[in-house]
Amino acid sequence: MFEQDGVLYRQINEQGRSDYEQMMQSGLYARLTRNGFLVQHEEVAKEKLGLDTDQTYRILQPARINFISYPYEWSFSQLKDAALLTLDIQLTALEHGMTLKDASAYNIQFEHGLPIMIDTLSFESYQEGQAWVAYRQFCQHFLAPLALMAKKDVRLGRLLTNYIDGIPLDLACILLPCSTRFSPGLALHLHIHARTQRAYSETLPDKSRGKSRARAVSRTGLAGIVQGLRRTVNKLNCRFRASEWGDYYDSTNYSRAAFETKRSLVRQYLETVKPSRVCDLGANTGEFSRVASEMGSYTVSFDIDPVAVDMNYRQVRTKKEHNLLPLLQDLTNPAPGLGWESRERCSLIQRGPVDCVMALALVHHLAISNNVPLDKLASFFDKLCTYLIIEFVPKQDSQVQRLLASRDDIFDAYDQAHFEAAFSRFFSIRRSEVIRDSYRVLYLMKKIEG
Amino acid sequence: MSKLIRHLMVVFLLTGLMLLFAGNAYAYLDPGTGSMILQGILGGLAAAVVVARLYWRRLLSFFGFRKDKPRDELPENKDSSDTDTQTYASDGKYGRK
Repeated sequence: MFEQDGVLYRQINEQGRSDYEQMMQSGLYARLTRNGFLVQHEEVAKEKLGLDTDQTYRILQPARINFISYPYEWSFSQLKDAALLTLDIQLTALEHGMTLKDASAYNIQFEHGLPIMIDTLSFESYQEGQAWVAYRQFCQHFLAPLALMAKKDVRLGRLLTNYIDGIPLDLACILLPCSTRFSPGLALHLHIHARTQRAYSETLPDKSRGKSRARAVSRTGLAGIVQGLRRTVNKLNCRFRASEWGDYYDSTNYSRAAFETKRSLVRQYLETVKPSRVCDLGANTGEFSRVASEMGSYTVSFDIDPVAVDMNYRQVRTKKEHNLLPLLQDLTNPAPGLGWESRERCSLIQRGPVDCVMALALVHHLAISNNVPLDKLASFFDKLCTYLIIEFVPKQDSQVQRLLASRDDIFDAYDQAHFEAAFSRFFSIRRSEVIRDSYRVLYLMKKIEG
Repeated sequence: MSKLIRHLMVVFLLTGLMLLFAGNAYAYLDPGTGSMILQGILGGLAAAVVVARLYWRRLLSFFGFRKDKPRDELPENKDSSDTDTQTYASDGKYGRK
């Protein structure tokens, strides 16, 4: 994989030739791309890129994904859909005499509101009797986190940030409730799987006899395993406990009039900016993200609450919303760079900047609950965007009063004048309007260049 | 009744498998070997289930309890006719035009 003049290419070496040819000629590529399962690509003449080496067989230019996201930023339903897609791709591949050699969750991205596989070179020729080499990876990347989220607590999905190759099965089994031992799918693919791993951990795979020994899996058996995994994943559902996440959704601080004013102001601001990409930070279930996405901007809708993100995603899926991507993000601890040299997975800031950031009803959470000084907030937004639509929520507001009720008011500098002064260091204020029926002010700002 | 029997069989099988792999090991060399071996066993079971279902259906249709649908009963196609696995491809969930 390499980038040249801002375009992403993939290089296939001679070793990958036969697998690639089989994928293209068996009709697998056509079928997967037609169903929207696999990203499309074009073949590029290698001479054009000055790469005419003997080892290079083909150069591919895959269609670009709008915004790269990672499994630890997905909600439960997103991870589940990505898992089902991976299994469906494996079943399709088997029908074409091929098999997936990777089942990494990082090979799935979300585009047009739906999961799509981006690794065109994950397919290899299937040999009768061969087990699924990616079985363990599938269980670690998908089944273990999904089971933990569904059977224990939805927040355990965050473990994926720590374990870049998926959650170790023995750890998942310790955390899962005992009842999962009696659910056939979870017992086989997680509990017994972890035990066999431990039992054979000192046995080195025997390459000479490997395929002919008891490990030989018939094609019917292999399809049966994948179907079984699919049924197991399909049955997992997250019951969000209402008491924990409670009244998040109804307790807005707005009268109907204030809400409508705010919505029409956001629309006006967006119309002046006409951004192609928008990030909505603290989007909740995406009410205002939809103002942007419906105007044609590709919108990433971030929130800290897994339940809100899941509701948002399910709405995207049901209504087939093509340019909205809901993601989990804790802005007080945003996604870091991870993996080898911390560069395999990009941090949130590395994946920016975008044309426009919306931060509605967010500032008071960061400044008061999380004690971030206003100038630090301003410099954070400066890294993220060119235009900023931001709502200032003053101390008189009942939401801020609620936050202050449980802590000392040490926030002398938290007022509109200080807010404007802090942000004016990085942004020029283009518009500011008081939202009717409230004390809140909605700003449109533009980054000061240079 | 048959559901109860199936359930008992599953519990019996799971207990057996758990006892089988109850050994203690220390170092964590390569978890890959165990995954391969487990697939050998699971694959065998899955294939056996498919074959058993195939003959069960044939038996039923022989006694006239069930309409014979020969195309669906080939082992390869068997699983995709399961009612609880809806394929995304057919309901167009992933499909986009």
